[in-house]
Amino acid sequence: MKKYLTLVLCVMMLVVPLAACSTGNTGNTGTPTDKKPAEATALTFWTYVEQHTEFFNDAANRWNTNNPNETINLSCETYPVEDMHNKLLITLQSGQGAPDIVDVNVAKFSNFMKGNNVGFVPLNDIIEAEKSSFLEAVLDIYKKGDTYYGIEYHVGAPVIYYNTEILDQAGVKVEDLKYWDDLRNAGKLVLEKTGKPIITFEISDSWCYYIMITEQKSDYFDRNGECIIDNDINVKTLQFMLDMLEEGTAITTPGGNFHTEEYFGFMAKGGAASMLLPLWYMGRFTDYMPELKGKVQIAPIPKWTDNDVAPVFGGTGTCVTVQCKNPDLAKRFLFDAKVSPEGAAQIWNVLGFDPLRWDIWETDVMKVPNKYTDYFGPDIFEIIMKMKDEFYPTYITHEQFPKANELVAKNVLFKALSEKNLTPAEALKEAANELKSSK
Amino acid sequence: MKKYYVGYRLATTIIFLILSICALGPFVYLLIASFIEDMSQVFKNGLSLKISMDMLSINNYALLFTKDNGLYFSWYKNSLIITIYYTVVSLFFSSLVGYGVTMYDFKFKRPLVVIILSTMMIPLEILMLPLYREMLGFGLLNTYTGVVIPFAVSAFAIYFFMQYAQTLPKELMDAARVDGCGEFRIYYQIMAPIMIPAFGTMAILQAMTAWNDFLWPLIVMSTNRNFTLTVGLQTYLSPYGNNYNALFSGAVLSVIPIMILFLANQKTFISGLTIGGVKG
Amino acid sequence: MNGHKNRHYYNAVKKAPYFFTLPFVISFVLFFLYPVIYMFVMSFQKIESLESWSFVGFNNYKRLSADIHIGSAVMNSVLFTIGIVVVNIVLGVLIAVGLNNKKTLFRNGFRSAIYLPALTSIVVAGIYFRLFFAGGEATPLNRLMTLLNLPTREWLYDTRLSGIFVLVVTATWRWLGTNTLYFLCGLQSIPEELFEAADIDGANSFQKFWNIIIPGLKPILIFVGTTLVYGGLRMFGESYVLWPRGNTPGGIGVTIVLYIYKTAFTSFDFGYASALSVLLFICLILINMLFIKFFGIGKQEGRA
Repeated sequence: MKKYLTLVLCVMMLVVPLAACSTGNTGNTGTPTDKKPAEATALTFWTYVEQHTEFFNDAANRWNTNNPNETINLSCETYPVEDMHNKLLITLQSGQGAPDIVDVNVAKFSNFMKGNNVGFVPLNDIIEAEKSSFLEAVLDIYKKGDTYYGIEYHVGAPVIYYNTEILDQAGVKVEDLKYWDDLRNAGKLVLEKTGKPIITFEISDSWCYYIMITEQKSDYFDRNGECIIDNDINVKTLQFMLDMLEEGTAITTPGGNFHTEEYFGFMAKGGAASMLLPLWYMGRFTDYMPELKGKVQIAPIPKWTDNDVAPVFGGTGTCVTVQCKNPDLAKRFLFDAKVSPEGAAQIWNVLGFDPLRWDIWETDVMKVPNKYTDYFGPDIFEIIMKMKDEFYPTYITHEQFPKANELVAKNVLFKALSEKNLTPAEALKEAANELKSSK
Repeated sequence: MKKYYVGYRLATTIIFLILSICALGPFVYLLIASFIEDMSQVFKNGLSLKISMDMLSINNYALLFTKDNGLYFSWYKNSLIITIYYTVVSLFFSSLVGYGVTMYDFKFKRPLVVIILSTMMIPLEILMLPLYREMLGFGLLNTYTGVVIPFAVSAFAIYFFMQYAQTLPKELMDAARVDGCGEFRIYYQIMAPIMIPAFGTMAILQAMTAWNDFLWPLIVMSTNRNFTLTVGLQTYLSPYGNNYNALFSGAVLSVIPIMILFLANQKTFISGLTIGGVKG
Repeated sequence: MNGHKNRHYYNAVKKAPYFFTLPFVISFVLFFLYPVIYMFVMSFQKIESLESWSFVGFNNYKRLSADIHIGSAVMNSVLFTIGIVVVNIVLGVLIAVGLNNKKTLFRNGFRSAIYLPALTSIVVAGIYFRLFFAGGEATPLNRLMTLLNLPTREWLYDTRLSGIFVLVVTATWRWLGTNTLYFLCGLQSIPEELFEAADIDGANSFQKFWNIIIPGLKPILIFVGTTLVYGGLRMFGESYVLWPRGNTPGGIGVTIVLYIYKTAFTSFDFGYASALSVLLFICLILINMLFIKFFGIGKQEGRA
């Protein structure tokens, strides 16, 4: 017995570390998505959006068909958004383990631009020649100095999604909801007739609020980099949200934000008459709320005044890291996948996003039916086209934007709208102070 | 007297039944949910599942094999390896130390015991940042060794073995010495076999710790092929693509090995706890 | 000859303990002492990237006073710790007494059932409790509330106390089994004669509980209490999973370790996070010293 015990111990001690060495390093290889010639170059792609892997796998297949001599073997890895960015920052800084191609969230991008050694390779050579076909302001979000480090998927036109079934019950017409005051008044009608709120506001994420302030050309920081997070417009907007919550025409979003199972369930059962987010949210409707098919109408967001704009700030930039062994190939692949007209068309077809390359918006490519037109109706792009002249890029590249956004998402909205232990002005002031002190 | 018995039995049985339902409810829920393919059912009704037979399927389990080329099973493998690795290493070293501290008198015994007990009280979470940088320096990030080594000599396990070693017959040591037995041989040929119950208990406890550990693997492992089950499973809770189908079935499978370990060793386990715990 | 041999094992006996305890010493120096020192050094630094650091003096410590989140984190950790200490000890002892009573039916079955949650990871527990406490009318807890004519809540997004409640329930589900087993073991070590003597004296159940069981359980109570305090203050996983990835709203749910983790790995503010760690470290050392002073942990062992 005793000999047996020591023997087992010794064997284990020897074998286990060996196994650890051999498997510890094979982390990145994965298995091919398709059968490919042996000389395919392996590329790793990290993302935090499941749908994006679908898009990139599709792009890889197309690439391999068009470039049989230079095939790639793309392996996609999906992580939760915070995890992925934490891991990416760390692997870039420690010089090992980073992927070749990676999606970076726009709100976190400036974290990667700090310091002198940027972890991404310049993309100027694939972007500059095509620049004029793009909405440049959004392209520039991923620019530091004169260098582009990432390429966006979409414009991210802000829209409001109405549940027409509920509005019909209350006798409210979508066309009449031009201004926020209209929406609020209609809310009273909806509440009275159906007992349901007309809209829900996030308390653990910031995008709804961010759109509402930036459409008035406000922001967290002004163009000189000064913190204006507690300016009058922002306070007034937050107060407006609070007022709607108090009168019952709005409620806080179940689960805190628009990406939780509580919210999907709530919405699918006709919980509220509308929600406000950029166009990219369409995919959540089609995937998680199939019940609402044909009952959701997309419309431009309500305005405060006639001077309002349609704020855009992209969403996700794709970058090539400095740890990529074939940056040239990775870049050409990225060009093919996202910059080229064919790639841009797939951004619409596969992902349902409004592609950043907008010279194709008026072409027939965008008129091909897909699951989004089936769900929301065929005229989605006509609505977006009408907003085109009002597009106004927000200042999301400020160094402290990630921190400010986190503060709004996790503190300001919660304290002012849900917990209500601070007034909107106090909550924003608190955030402003923290931003100034941690500079 | 009889009446009192009946009343007591009825009351305790009801109370314990309620407690057991609270304790086991989540398992039952996860088990049922893991067979429901249409997850919108779960979202819509919260936890109150309205189940009909036609909603049930084993597709969620099949999904674990196909999703991301069976990524789930590399987590499984990683968790198994880390658990065995950690258990073996920590048992070996901790028993040595616990035994050594208890069985011998030496100059630094007192301070050493105080240090051992003190480190037990300082959660290693506090040291995660310097340890992280240390692992980076050693090139151990994203490796099994990086997950296991910093905690391999576990103060808790040492303490446990110290308790157990107090029951060992010291006379045996002297007898063995007279026979010319070396000190290490005394340990592994005479004392270690006596401590087998302690090894058994500690093996289960340490295996459980390693299997369920979350924070440290989360920090050390950076690519998803290298994640452990706990770290990997929570990635299925991503706001940009929840994957409840795989989450529920994955969670159910992740509980099974440790349950088997427990149910198969219930007696050793509980009797071992008596010795470790009671003398605290 | 004999003398030589004696000296030989006298030497061996002298050296042996150093050999046996060497693994601990190495591990202590490498994975405790050095990191502790390193943590102090890091707390005086500012990080731009892993390769570029600069010393910033007491800057990180100065920031502590202006930080609005640290108060919430400390408050939550302390309230949570108090919560689980009370709940686990009270429930743990009562359940153990019930399970230890020979008149109770199905003792082994109940014991295993109550223990089983202890085998799961926080992630598995979190998946369930995340849904259990979810807002909306349809979730089971809110249905129960409706049934009892109480207002429904967004449990995870309501108040600090609802957050603590959620955390304590989730943690207790996993921790209670182990603690109950400890108490059960403690009860079994109380000599039967004490109870027999009490019966002869005509003591009732309450008297037995207070005069025999509680004193008899004292060492276990101290042991469990200590581990609970230690486990409570280091709690991270429950918050991280219940509010997915630690996205806790406002002052709800965030704990000290979660705050340190997020400061370091999300904001990449390693220096400041180290200053926070130093603060927690000092607090724990103080608590540790208090335990040693009042309960004599360590003293006893040194004598043994």
